[in-house]
Amino acid sequence: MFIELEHLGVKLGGRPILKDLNGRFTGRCIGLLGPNGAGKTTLIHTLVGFHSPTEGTARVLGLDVRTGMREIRHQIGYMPENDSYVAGMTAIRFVRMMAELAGLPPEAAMERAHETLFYVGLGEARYRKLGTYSLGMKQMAKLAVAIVHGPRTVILDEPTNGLDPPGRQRMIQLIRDIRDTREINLIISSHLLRDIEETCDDVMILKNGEIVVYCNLEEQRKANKKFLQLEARGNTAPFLEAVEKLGCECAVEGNRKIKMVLPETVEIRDLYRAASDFSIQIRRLDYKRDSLQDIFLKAMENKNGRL
Amino acid sequence: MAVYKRNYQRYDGPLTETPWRFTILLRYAVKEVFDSKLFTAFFSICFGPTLGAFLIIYLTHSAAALATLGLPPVAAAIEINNNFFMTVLDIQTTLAFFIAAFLGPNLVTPDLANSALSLYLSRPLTRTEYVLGRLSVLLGLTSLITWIPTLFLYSFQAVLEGGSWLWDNLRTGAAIFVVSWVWILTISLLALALAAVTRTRAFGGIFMFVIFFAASGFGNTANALLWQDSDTKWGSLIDLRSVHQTISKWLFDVPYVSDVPVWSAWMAMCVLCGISMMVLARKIRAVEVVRG
Repeated sequence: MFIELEHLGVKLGGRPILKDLNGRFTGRCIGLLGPNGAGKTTLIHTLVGFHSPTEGTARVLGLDVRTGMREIRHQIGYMPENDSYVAGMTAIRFVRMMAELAGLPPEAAMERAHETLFYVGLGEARYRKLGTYSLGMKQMAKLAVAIVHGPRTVILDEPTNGLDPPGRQRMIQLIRDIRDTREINLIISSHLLRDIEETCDDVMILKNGEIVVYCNLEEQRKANKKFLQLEARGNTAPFLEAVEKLGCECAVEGNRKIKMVLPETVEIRDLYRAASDFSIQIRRLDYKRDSLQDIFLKAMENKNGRL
Repeated sequence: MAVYKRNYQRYDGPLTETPWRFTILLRYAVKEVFDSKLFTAFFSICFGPTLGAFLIIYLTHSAAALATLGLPPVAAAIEINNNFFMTVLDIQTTLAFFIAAFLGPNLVTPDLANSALSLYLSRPLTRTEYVLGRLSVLLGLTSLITWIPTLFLYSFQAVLEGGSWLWDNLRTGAAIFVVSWVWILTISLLALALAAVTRTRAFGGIFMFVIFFAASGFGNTANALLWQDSDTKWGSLIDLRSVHQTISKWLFDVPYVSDVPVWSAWMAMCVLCGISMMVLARKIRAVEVVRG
């Protein structure tokens, strides 16, 4: 079991931030989503031992965060959201020191520091001081620090923060490479749904300190094959009424865009027939899989947050 | 993983001993510190007084050397006793203060300035071990110029004088060790705490000097205003140097007139160390929690 949460509650400054989180999460790469203040970073900080649970507990790789934090920290790599570096140190020295602090002997730490910096694309700049790095390079250096000691689990908090499109692409590619080695579990927290969609297998959505969705993205996609988006002209109200009678679930976005989930029994030709009956022009019709954005928005819109 | 392979691989090799992990911080910091030529030069100068004291001890015991140098006998003029060692240590502890003021902020502020603590503390390293690692740099370097060379001088004197001198001056040996440790521990904790509060190198060092000199001024002013006619001048308790000298003179068994009782001087040192540790416990955190 990768992550287990057992009635986990965390209070910070007297305010409850995480409330009674439960679940066993086995995904190889879990994406953490949620609006600002949902508790994503607090959950990550609890898993790496920066905050103690006020209620319940959490287990990482079977080790309890209350009692086995030192062992957990041997097994995890953490990339924080904010700038984290020592400006006056060269990248190679900093990454090597971090590897040694994780328990690697000096020679192994040196070897892996060089290799990791090459791996993340900082090979040529490894003797430069971290303070002289660009934002993108600093992000890569943080990734190097997170993986230099070869952990079993890597926790990345907003890994593409502040990156330009090529930098973001490079980061996403690296995360995918790391994921695909199958030697490691990843937790990625991001505001960018696209990042999560491109890298993660499972997604956990937090809202107000509670888990409102935990799902496997691939299964969600399979389950929503008959999701349509169409653009119509004319009086759509009778048309919508007709298709809803056929068993379709409809949602109107703006004046003309209609999102629709077709039941198994309904074919596209039935829609065209209904459109013809009510003199509706269908200008565009796309099959649209249920994107992460839809999952996220549904979770956010619902009163209790749950799908 | 080899460089040419460029893919991620887990590390399954041996790990180092956990209890001594903090010494990694010591090793890296010492290397960094001596990369500064200015510091290396100053640190070398710190051995000057010890060297001078060594020569004095040697010359007081070598009539031949004095005759060769054409100097008058100095044995009668300079007596190598507890007072001599206290004076040597006094000079060395002052130099140790400068080292702590210069070095303390350099050890902590770079980690705090760019939130690097979250990276340190996400490793198998506790906050206590982090502070211990940083503290050991200051304690190690200040030890090298305080009790270690002074005890070397003491041993040299004992070798030259013989066993009876050593027996008669055992208290001096113990005093060298204790007085040094009281001072270097206090100033090291204070330097780290001030650096943790100010988060800038310059202000960390400046505040050390402010506490050293300004507190003395405040203490004297308070004494003049509140305890002018009293034998006990409690204002001196905020004068770090005066407090330490009270302890030092008591331990070296040197006749002295102190503004404050010895017990209160010990208390003042303990309180200062306690406050420094509390500040460190509050400020040395992976992430700051905003309350309210």
